Amino acid sequence: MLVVLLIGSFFSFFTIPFSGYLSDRLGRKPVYIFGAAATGLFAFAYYALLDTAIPGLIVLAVLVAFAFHDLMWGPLAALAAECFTPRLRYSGASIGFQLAAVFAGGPAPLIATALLAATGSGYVIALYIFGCAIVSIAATAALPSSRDRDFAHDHI
Amino acid sequence: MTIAEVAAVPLSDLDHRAQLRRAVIASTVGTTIEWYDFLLYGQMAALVFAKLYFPSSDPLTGTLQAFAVFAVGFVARPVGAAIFGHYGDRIGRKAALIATLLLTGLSTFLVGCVPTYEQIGVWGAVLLVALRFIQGIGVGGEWGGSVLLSMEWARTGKNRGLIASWPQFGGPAGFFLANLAILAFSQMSGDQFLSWGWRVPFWLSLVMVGIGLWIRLGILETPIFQQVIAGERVARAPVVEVLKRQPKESSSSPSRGWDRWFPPSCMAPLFSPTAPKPSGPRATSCSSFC
Repeated sequence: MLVVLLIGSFFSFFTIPFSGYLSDRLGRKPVYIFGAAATGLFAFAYYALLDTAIPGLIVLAVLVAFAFHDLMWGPLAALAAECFTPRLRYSGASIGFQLAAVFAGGPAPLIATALLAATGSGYVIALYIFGCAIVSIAATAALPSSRDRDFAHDHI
Repeated sequence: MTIAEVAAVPLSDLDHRAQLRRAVIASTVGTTIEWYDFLLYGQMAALVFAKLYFPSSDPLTGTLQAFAVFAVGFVARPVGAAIFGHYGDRIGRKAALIATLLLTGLSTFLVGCVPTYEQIGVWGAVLLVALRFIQGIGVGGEWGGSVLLSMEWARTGKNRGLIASWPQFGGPAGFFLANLAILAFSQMSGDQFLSWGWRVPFWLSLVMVGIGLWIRLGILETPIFQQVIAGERVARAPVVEVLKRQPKESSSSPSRGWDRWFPPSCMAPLFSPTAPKPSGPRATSCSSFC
């Protein structure tokens, strides 16, 4: 399993810069929202593929999941930083990102483990991921379009 | 510190491009090291710490273990974000990033030096939790700064997304290196890994931090922050101000912030019923990813 994750993270070395590049061409919000929707929907297929226990399909599932996830992870940096005016930017971007670690990233594995223990089904975890995706999409849609903002000068 | 680094004359095109390249390298390398540190601790906690620091005979250590692995590292991260956000917006990106790298690197190195339960009893566990908190503060200050260090050297909005995605690359790179180090050292015959082998990946962090520090000391403050200083627009209390003025932006990040390791960490527990190998410890270790 560790090896599969190593392959996945190696794959990310390429998909992350590519996602960043895409966000320059197509906009941060569209790429991010597409990534969130794709990750949320793919979660169901993901657990179905894992359930087959066929090594090739498991690797495929991980790679596709990483690719969709990186469509969020790549543009996230620019999206978060561009929300803030230069003089408050370090504080704003850092706090937003790290609060996410506490409220979403940290408990996520615990929630997933608990869901699995309670129901015995990966699809319940997929449902949870799907719910997170909807929250992500709603929050991102509410943000101002950041790419066109004046990045170098104060805007508030 | 920053004042002296403000370029007196504008950089030439060529110099600017060279600085941009150096800034991207400095942020990506540093972020990779910090993720290595953070993830290494999480992985080792499940593999080694339970045996050496949290013997089941002592109930207090059992509670501490839960804290060491999960809560402390995560709680520390927004604390670090506020501390280094403050200094990063007041003193500069460069100074803050040198501090986060040192803090994370030194605390990680010290984790490799903590005496075991056999040697100093419960204090070993206490030290591990304290060091995890310090490490988390460093990691919490790192992300925003390294993204800005890269982005604020970009000249146009045309490639800012690509430039900012390089420090993001540090996440999987750190994950990759941490697990590679664990794979390599766990090949040692059982006792050796438990008695001293596991400490080496933590000590290696010191070497990496030395390299990262050398790179980061050689960069200039970003042009955009130089403008903030030159225009005397430095915020007095940036953390308070940003929460007041841009509450939506500061708080909407959390909701869209499932972390990088969301898919792998959710996958790990599922693996126990399907995979033949027992994956109890692995599920725990995956859970401790950022």
